[in-house]
Amino acid sequence: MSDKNPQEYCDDELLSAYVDGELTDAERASVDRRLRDDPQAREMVAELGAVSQTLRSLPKHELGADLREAVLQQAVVRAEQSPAEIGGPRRWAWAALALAATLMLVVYLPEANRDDQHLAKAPLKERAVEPLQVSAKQETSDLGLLAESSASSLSGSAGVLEGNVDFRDEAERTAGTDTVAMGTAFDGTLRSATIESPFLQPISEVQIEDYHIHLTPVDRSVGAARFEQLLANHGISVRGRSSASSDAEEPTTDETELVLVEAPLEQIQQIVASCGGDDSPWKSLRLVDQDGVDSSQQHFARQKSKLDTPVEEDAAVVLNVLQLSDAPARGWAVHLGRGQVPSRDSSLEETASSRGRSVATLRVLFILHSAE
Amino acid sequence: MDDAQLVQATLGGEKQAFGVLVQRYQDRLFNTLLRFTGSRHDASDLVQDAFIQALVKLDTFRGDARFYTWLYRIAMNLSLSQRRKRRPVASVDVAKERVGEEPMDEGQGPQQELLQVERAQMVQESLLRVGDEHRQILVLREMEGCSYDQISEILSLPVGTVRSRLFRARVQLKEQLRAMLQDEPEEDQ
Repeated sequence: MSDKNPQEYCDDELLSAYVDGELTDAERASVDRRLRDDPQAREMVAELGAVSQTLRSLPKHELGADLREAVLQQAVVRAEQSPAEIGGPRRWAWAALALAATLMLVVYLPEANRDDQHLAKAPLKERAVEPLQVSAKQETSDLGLLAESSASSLSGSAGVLEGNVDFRDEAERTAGTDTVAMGTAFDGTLRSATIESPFLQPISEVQIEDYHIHLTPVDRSVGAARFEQLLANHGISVRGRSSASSDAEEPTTDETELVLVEAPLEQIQQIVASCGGDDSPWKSLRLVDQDGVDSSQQHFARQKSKLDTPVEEDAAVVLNVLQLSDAPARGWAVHLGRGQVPSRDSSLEETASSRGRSVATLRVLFILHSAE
Repeated sequence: MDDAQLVQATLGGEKQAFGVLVQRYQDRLFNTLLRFTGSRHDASDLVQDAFIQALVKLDTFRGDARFYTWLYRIAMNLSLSQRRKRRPVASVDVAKERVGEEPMDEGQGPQQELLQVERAQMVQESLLRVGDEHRQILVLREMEGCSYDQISEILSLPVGTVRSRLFRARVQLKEQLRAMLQDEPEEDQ
C-alpha cells in the first residue's frame, strides 16, 4: 500500500465503503466504472469483502452469567466512595456554578483586564436568552481559588461574553442558549448560589467532562513554565501568554497559575501520568469534578494502589476518575495567569470558533499552586 | 419498556430497572469486548465495571445518545485505560487461548469443528495484532454492525475519518489474514 499516491489511497477508501454500501449514488457510480476497468480494484473489493465476512463469521460468545445482582451491589459500594447518590437528585446547581466559574475565568477575567469602554462596545449579537442570575453567599468551596482570582475583576462585567472566545459546545450553541451572560446580581464572590436561568439545564447536560486539577510543586523552582513544557511534550502549546500582553511579566512561583487545557481524554491522561511519573516536579495532584468531589478523598482507590510515591498515587487516582470521560480530537491550551489575556488573541478566537468544542472533548483547568 | 424508560425508572429510584438493562446488553457487550481484548476474563470484568460505572454515573447520561452507545463508550474507555496500565499486553498466543473459541455449527463432525475453532483462533489472533484504534473500529463495524454514522457518533469522529480509518484497519487485518485467506479455497475443496 505504501507505494500508492494519496489519490489512489483515497480511491481505495471508496472501495472499502463500497463493500459496506456506505457510498453516495455518485460515488457508487464512480466505483462501478472503476471496477469495470481495473482488475486490481476488483481484487481489492473482493479482499476487503472477505476480511469483513471473516470477522462477521466469528462465533458469538455469551457471558454465561447474570450480572444483575453483582452490578447493583457493587454500584452501591462504589457510590459510597463518592458523595453522589445513585439515581439521586442531580446536583446541577453546583455543577453549573463550577462551570460558571470556569467560563468566567476563560471569558470574563481576561476581559476585565481591559478597559471598560471596550467592554461596553462588545457586540451583543448572540445575546439570546435571559441572563443567568447568581446571588452569591459566603461558603467555602473548591472554587474558592477561582473566586478569589476573579472576584475583583468580575464586577461590572455582565454581558461581555459576546465577542469573546466561545468555548462552548456546538450542541449548546444550537440549543437556543447562545449567550451565557452573567446577571448584574453577581458580585464576584462565587461561593454558593441560587441560579434561575435556562443556562442551567443545557450547560449541565453538556459540561459533564470539566474538571479542575490542582498541582503543587515540590519546590519554588517549579513554575508554570515547567508545566507548559510538559504540555509541549504532549503536543499542546500554551497560548495567550505572550500575545495577550507584551509587557506582562513572567509569573513567579509565588502566584497560582491557571492553564485551561482542552484535549482528548488520552492526552489528558498522558499529562496526568507524566505529572505522577518518575522525577515528577510535583508533590501532589488532585482532581475536583463538577460535583465538588475531590479525588484526594477517594480513599478506596488509594488503598488499592501500591505505588511508590504520593504523587504517583495521586496520578493513579486521578486517572481512575478520568477514565469515565470520553475521547475526541486535538488538544490546545490557554494560559490564564495574571496579565495574560486570551480573549483578543485573534488566532485563538479563530481556532476556537472554527472547531467549536467536540461534545466528547475533555476540558481541564490546571491550577498550578505555588510551592509551600 | 425501552431503554430511555428504564433509565428514567432507575433515576427515579427503581434500581431493578437497571437490572433489565444489564440483562439486555451484557452478552452483546461481552462479545464485543471479548473480540477487542482477546480475553474472556478481561471482557467479563470490563462488562461488569462498565455497568457499575454507568449506574453510578447514570445521572450524567444525556438522553441524546442511545444508552448502549453510552455504555459502549464507558466500556471502551475502561478497556483502553486498562490496556495502558498493563502494557505490554498479554501475548497474542496467550490471548488466543483465552477466548475459548467454540465451533459455530455443531454436529459437523470433530474434524470440521476443529477446523472452525482453529480458524476462529487465527482470526482472533490476527485481530489482536491490529492496533487498538483500528481494532476498535473493526469491532464496531463487523461485530456490532454499526453504520458509519453510528461509528462516527460513538467515536466522535467525522464520517470521512471513519471511512478512511476503517479502510486502513481492513488493510492491516488483510495483511494479517493473507495467508489464511489464500489457504481457504483449498480447504473448501
